[in-house]
Parts: sequence; C-alpha cells; structure tokens
Amino acid sequence: MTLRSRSARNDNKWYKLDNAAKIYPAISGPSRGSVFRVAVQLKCDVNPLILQEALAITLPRFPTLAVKMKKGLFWYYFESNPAIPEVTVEKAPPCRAIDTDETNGFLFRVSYYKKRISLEMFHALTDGTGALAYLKSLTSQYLTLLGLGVFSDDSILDYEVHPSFDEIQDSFEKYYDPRIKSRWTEEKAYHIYGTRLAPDTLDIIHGIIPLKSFLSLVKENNTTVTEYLTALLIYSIYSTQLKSRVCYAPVKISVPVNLRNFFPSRTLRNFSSYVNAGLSFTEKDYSFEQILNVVSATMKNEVTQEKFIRKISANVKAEKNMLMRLVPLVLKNVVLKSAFSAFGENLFTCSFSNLGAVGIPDTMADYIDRFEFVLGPPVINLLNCSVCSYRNDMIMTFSKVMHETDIERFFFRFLSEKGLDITIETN
Amino acid sequence: MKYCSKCNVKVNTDLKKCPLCSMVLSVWKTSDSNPVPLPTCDMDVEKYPKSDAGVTDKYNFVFRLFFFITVVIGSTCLLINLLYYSGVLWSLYVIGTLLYLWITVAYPLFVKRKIGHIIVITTLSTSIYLYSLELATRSSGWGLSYVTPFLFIAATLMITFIIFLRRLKWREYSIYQTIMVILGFLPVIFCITGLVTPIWPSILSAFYSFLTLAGMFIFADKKYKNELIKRFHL
Repeated sequence: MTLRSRSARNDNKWYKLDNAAKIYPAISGPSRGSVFRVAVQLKCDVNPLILQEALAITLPRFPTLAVKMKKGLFWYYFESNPAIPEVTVEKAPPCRAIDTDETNGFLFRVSYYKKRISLEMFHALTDGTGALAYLKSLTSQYLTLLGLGVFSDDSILDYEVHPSFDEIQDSFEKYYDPRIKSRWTEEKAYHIYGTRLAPDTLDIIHGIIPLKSFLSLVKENNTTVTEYLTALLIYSIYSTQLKSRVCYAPVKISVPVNLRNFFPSRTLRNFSSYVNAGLSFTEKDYSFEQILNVVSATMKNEVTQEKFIRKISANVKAEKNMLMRLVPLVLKNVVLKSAFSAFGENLFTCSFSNLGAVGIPDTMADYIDRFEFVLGPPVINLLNCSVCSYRNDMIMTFSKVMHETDIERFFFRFLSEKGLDITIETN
Repeated sequence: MKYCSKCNVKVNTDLKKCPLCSMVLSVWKTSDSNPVPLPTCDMDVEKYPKSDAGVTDKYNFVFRLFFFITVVIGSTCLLINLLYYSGVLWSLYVIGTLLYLWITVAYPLFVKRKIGHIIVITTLSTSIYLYSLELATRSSGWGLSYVTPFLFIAATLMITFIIFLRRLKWREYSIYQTIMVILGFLPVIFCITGLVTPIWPSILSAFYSFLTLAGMFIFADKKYKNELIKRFHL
C-alpha cells in the first residue's frame, strides 16, 4: 500500500516495502543475494538492442519495479528511479547478488544469453508471480518490436494501460486480521549434508519432464503436482541420506504458496506465504506412498485461507508493533538478521517453489520454447528446487551449492522408472 | 543429445559424463525402432555461460597493507608502553590517533560513500577526537568551546554549498543537511550543562543551524517536507 505521491512529478514517488519484503534488505549481502530468476527461452538468438528498447518501453508500466532502495531512519523504502536499466549479457553464476552499482540502482537485472532472456529479481521487490508478469510483458514487447505481431490477452499486462492501484498495494496489510493472536512455533528441520561448492558458484540441473504423462501419473495417485513433487523430494532425501537410520529432526520442505489464489488480490509485489510440509523418520522403513499421504494431509490442512490469514497476521502485527517501529533501522537490521539466522533456513530442509503453468497468448507461443524458474543459492541449506510448466513441458530445477548429485539422481531415476521421458540440462 | 543408460535420462548438454551419476554418456539416436517424441525445446548444447571461476577479493591489497601497518604500530606502542610503564598510558594517544586517521582518511578512501556522509562523519569524529585530547591533556577551553561549534557551522555551510552546486541531487544532500542542523543545536546543550566556558561560539552554531533550517523550509517547503516524511516514516 501507501503510494504517496503528493507531487505530480514522477521522481517523487515512494513506496514502503511490503510486509514480506522487509526481511530481505536486512539479511541480504554479497553472500546472500535473495535473488531468484524467471527466464524465457525463445526460438532464436536474442537481439540485445531490441531487448533494451522493450525494457525502456515496458518498465514505466511497473512502477514498483522501477525503483531504488533507500535507507530511512526507521525503515528502508523504495524511491522511483529515473534511470534506465541496462540489458547485459549473462554472466555466471546465475542468481548472484544484485550489485546496485552495476544496475544503475535497480534491484533487478535483465540479461540475455543466446536464446534466453533472464530476469533476476531481488526478492524484496516482488515474488515469482510478479516477476513472471513483468517477464511476459517484456517478452511480448520484445517480440512486437521484432515485428512479429501485437500480443494481447488476459495473461499479459499491456504496457499502455496505466497500472492499477491493486497492482502496487501491499496485500498483506490489506488482508491481515489484527485480532488474531498467533505465534511462530516451528521445529528445526533436518539438514542435508554434502560438500559445499566454492563460493560464487551455483550448480543448476534442469529436468524437462513431459507434462501430460506426468499429470496422468499424478492423477493415478489422486494428488496434486506440488504434493507429488514435494513428497518425491522428501523421499529422495530420505532414501539417499536417512534410510535405516533414526533421525528425529523432520525433513521439511518449505513450499511457497501464491496468496493471490486465496485472496482477491492482483498485486505485483510480494504476496506469498509458505507451508512447511514434511515428517520425521523415526521408524525403519518408509514408502513413497506413505510420505505422499503425509504431505497431502499437511497440504489439505495448511493450505486454507484461514491458516494463511493467521500466518500473515503474525507478521504484519510484528511489523506494526510500535516498539519495533521506533527502533532505528540499524538496530532493526541486527534484530532481523539474528532472528533469521536463528530460525530462517533452519526451519526447513530445502525450498520447493512451484510457479505453476505459465500462460501466454496463443499467438505468442510460436516464438517461445519454454519458461524457466530458478531459485537462488541457499546459504545454510545446500539445495533449492523450483518448477514451472509451459505447454507440454514441465521444468524441474535443482539449484544447489553441493557437489553430490545423489538426491537429484534418485529423484529423476524415480520418475524415469515410472515411464517418464526425462531430459537433463545443466550449467 | 546424449543418453545415460543407467539413469535412463537424455542429456541435452555437451558433457562426456552423466551429470547425475557420472556414467559415460552414449549418443541418443532419434531414428530408433521405437522413436520417442522429442521435447519441444530446441537442441542447444550450451545453455549457460561458463563461470570465470576467479573469486574477486573483497578487500584489495592496499587496504590490507594499511590495516597491517596500523596493527603493527598500535600493538608495538602498547607493548613498549606496558613494558616500560611510567605512570602514563601514552600509547592510547597513538591508538586514538590511528583510529581517527582510519575514520577520516581511510574510510572515505576505501568505502564508497556520498560526500555528505563523509562530511558528517569527519565533523563528528574530529569533534570527538579533539574533545578527548582536551580531556586527556587537561587543557580545557578550546576543543568543545571553539573548534566544535565552528566545525559544525563549516560543515553545514559546506553541505549548503553542495546543494546549490548540484541542485538536481538536492534530495540526497538534504538529509545530511538535516543531520548537520540537528548537530548544530548540540552545543547549546553543552552551554546548559556548563561544559563550555565562552558560550558565544555555541550560541552562534545554534543560530546558524536555525537559519539553515528556516532557509530549507522557506525555499523548498513541500519537497523538503516530503523528503523528511520519506526518511523518517515510522
């Protein structure tokens, strides 16, 4: 919320960070980027000059992205950035921390490599859904500038339409319930062990899975894509690291949930919560079906509007606490940082984010091969997973900072034994 | 396109060994008797740029050199001082001066900051440094009474000049101007508590701060107010 533009001049607009965004500036730095990537792979090589032009045309449509971050005495805030971000050729490693000296102050990076356009986003700006909305508008404008037609459809935000207030509001603030009393109580989770890669490296393994056959597999098991993949991830971790060993720390997967599906919000800023699904392996043997049942039950129980209101209320109320607000930013950062290192990544074994099916106008599909969704490197944990699907393919991505490949190997072998035709790609 | 028979997966990256199990890959032939439909994606071999491995050093050599020299001088002085102790901890002067030099000289050199930030930091640290010298040498009556108020006035004036010179960036500097104005009122507290003997430089500093503040509100009222709201929103 709070678009405070008292002056008509564009450069005077500023925004408070939304509730979920507030943690990221405090905990991020060169070694923790809090960056994720959405990327699109086209059918032919990217023309950087035209991409640059498309970027300049579409960015004003997304005022909450065209910002730089500033420090106030009590909070960070976003201020309109009159500069224009530069399209750069992609550099390794993916999802590295955004250096605002390189990006003219912007908190995202648009880069290209061969056929791919990548949008790497600092999580304080928006979540996967918001980033994807921008990537789609950018891509459609790019294709239009190439003279391939004009693409408009409900699935794409038109750059000529003025942004609605809905898109720039902090939905957390809108939908929280101040009466709810809630506490954060979570158990520490099991941590994957492995050999850490050298700093500034990220290994990426994509597995391209045919969507149709996968969906029928999911249907056979009477479950959903997210539940199935989450359960398979837990099963892979269990089978490669925990089998016939008693471990009381639960293997928990943190699954972000897009709250726009539960509340009538169209915001382009952060609006997601999460569910930690998992179990502890206290007995000898567990089958995949057993795990799947536990995960499905957790999801059915946790993925409800009431539960999410409870979760976001706790966070928004913490933010609105007068004592917390009166603490100067420098001290707030210390508090948030230590709270995050005490809880944060310790509460889950790995993240698994499902961006869902990416919808684009049919006419645009001729020029697009696929979409990719990559989470940035974890710091305490060793592995992050993400998935998105586009037309006939589902792309499962492991972004990891460990050498060993047992978990992914088990994961993909399991699926290929189920008769799926899997293609692996790596960096 | 290659194939790993052990994992039963195709590999679409130019590798000799399977990225999952390190088995040697075989070539995938599409003209099999049992043709498998290819995924819709194009068969690119190289999907990601190569990593240019070299991890960049966060602190350069010059920084480390100066830091080491500081540690050598500081600890040597402390050691000699303690070994031949004669009732005076003179090494604290050396260590304090080294610290002061780091804040006023090395910090602006090594850390990229706005000039306004540097002016505020330098003013504050110089005042504190001189006041501690004054206390240590028991030669009261110059640092806090004269130097500090005039230093504050000079810093406020300097930032005002910068705002005039770089009017487009006034927003960046108005915050430092605000900090300096608030600091400029501090000497009045010294007057009240009786820390300074001739009070006129302190009063002058407060008066100059008042004039600057009035000027900011008169010349850039709305914009300045907005800037303050942004910076100080709760």
